[in-house]
Amino acid sequence: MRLHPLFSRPRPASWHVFRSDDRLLLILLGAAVGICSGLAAVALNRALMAMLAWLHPYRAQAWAFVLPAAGAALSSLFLTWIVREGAGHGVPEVISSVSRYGGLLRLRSSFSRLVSSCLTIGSGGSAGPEAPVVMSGAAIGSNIARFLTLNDRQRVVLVGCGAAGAIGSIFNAPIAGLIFTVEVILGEWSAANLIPIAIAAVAGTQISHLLQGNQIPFAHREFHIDLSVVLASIGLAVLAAAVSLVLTRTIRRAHHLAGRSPWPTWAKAAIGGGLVGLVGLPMPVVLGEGYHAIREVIEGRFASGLLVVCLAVGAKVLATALTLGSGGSGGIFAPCLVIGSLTGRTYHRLLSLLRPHTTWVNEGCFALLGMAGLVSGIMQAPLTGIFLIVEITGSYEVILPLIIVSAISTSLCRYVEPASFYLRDLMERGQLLRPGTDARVLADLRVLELLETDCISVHPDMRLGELVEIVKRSRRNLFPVEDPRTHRFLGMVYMDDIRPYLFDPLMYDAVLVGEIMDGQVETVAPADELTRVLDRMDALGRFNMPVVDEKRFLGMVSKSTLLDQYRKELMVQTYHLRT
Amino acid sequence: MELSIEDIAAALGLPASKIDRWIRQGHIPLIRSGPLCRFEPEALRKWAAQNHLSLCLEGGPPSDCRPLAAETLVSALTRGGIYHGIDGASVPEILAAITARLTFIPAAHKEELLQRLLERENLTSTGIGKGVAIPHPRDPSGRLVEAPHIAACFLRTPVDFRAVDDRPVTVLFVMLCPTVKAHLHLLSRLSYGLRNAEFVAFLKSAPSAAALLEAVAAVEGQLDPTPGER
Repeated sequence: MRLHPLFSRPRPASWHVFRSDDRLLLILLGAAVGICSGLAAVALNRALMAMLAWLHPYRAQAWAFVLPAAGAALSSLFLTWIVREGAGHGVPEVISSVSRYGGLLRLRSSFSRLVSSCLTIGSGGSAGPEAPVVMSGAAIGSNIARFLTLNDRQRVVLVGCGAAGAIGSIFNAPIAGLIFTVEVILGEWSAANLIPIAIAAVAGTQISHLLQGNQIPFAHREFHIDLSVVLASIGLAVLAAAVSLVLTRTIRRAHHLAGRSPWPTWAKAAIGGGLVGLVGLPMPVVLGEGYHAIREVIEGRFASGLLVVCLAVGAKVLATALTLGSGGSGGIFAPCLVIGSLTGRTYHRLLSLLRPHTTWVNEGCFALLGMAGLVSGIMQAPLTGIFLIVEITGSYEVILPLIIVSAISTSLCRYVEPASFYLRDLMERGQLLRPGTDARVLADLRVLELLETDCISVHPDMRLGELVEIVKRSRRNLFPVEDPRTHRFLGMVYMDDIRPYLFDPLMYDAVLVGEIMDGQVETVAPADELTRVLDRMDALGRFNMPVVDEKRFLGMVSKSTLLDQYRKELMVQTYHLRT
Repeated sequence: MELSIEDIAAALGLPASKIDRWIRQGHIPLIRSGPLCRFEPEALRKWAAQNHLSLCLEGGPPSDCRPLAAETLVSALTRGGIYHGIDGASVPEILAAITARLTFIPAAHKEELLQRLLERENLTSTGIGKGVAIPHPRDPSGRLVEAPHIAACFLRTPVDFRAVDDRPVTVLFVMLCPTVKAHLHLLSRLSYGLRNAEFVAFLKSAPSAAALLEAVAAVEGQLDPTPGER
């Protein structure tokens, strides 16, 4: 393939100047990435609509529960055999890549989740198309960055641009795209990131306007909000937090159960899909991404019995857990919104039963608040919840109770679950490294970067008198002992241990280094993580430890050098936040 | 400007692997072009200053970059000078005569220097035996000099200095150093020379400046094969 002259080597000098000041570059590339991920979102949306129309005649059949099973199995086979990727929601993979691998994502990720989630959701699986689109957009951004040989920081910004464009496009919600990206994906608020991501969110949304028209996904008539609603929203927040926790736990439970079963992944996905289909027979609201159900609830067309709504919440939680836990492909966004709206409606029915004489605001309002509560609770991202709901429902008038619900729901969930649904696995694996944090700095610094090589090696047959001569020349008060022939590391001599004898010439010929060395000293390998090294130093009460690779002494690693390098690293890593 | 990663790492005093990683992660304003790195020197200097890193690119200010060469007796003697025919019958008289003749001390500071030398002599004698004394202020890190100075002074007549071996002193090395480290370093070199009986006998002959420097250089030559170079 012949590349455009701009991209082929050698590049003109102006290209390098352009790259060194990357603000303009990132804005232009951000717009391009936003457009691409917006297109991906539109494509998935259209494909889902086509699948829906195509399968619609079969939904009424008694055997319709086979459809989600077949869809999930096909989706699993596609992921395992054709693109060779794991299942998963998509968003944790993007966060992991940003956090640990400088935003590197495979090219095939830009379409793999679109196909698999289309199969899962289109056939009736209970999952959302948002996370697959986020993954796709992020992979597009990552691969554009890789094609242009950009560095990690720039690549991470473009990954964020892809995510923002995707959310902006699929929900027609640019602010939610921007906030979600910064709050959940990147975890870092800086002007250098915000501007390209905002541009990408606008570009993605604009693409969706051009191709699908500018419509608010869940429009409704205006609500009249008074103090009673604001106060009542506190109770809804508690309920939403409880449902969030139940949903998180159920999905994880289903995931563990599926993980322990011996069947092949496609069979597990098929069983999960089949069970979802069975749940869907009496309760079709649980099938698919469920946007139509949200519209029904907001417009007040959904069943009004408290028991029915309660059952619907439970059924949707179960169906989502079965779909995602068993290996179906899709995200948690749309199920959150469906469950949230149903929770809001449940709460409204409860209030009406308890206080039948009070005229409560339209139940649609509580549906919105419930959606915000669920999104905030599951993702532990209050701003995403607030702005997403305001944008997708076009209802700024509910902002006050919305903020209350989001804030309380997030706080309660965080109290019980230390990490959000997306981050929990990453945190357990120690892979959540947000920029500018202790974990990030320690993960980036390598043992070899801290190596102090100013120690003078001695050998075990040396007499103390010879060691004293070396002490005179050495700048350190510790001496590695090596085998003179094989250069194998044998142990350390610490000045503190031998100080009393250094000034006693009678001992000079009587004592050998091999007799005074510490042969049991604990060592560090060059590949060790610094967090582990520091833990060992603390446990042993030492300020330094020898670094040994394949039995050869390389140097020392000490807390004082670590502090020096740690500060430099922290300054350099947060430089773009200060400028 | 283009340099290799190793050169940039050396200029920043950091390991090359770290610079390599910073380029990959985009934390440093460098762009890889083949085996070299391309950068704007001004942008890199600004970046280094804002991150509290010291950067020593070629052509930068020398005081920042080059480590001080190890001090030698010859260079300190060259700075301090050699003085013959000092007159005086007692320690204060001799020190006053020497202070008056030292050319590298401004007249305004001569009184202060004399007081500090006398103070030090009052504590214990600086006569270290074999007819040699090394008068110096108690606190070497004074503001009197910016570089180590040694003034070699030869007395017209031997004087009792209350030295450790009670022998009268004929040769004085007045040592003025800005740091304790330089003081100890030069003192250790000097005492190495004074262990050599031939060198001490040579000093007693009150040699000329050129001969003295030559002999000192020879003594230092035994200490390090390439004195004064790094």
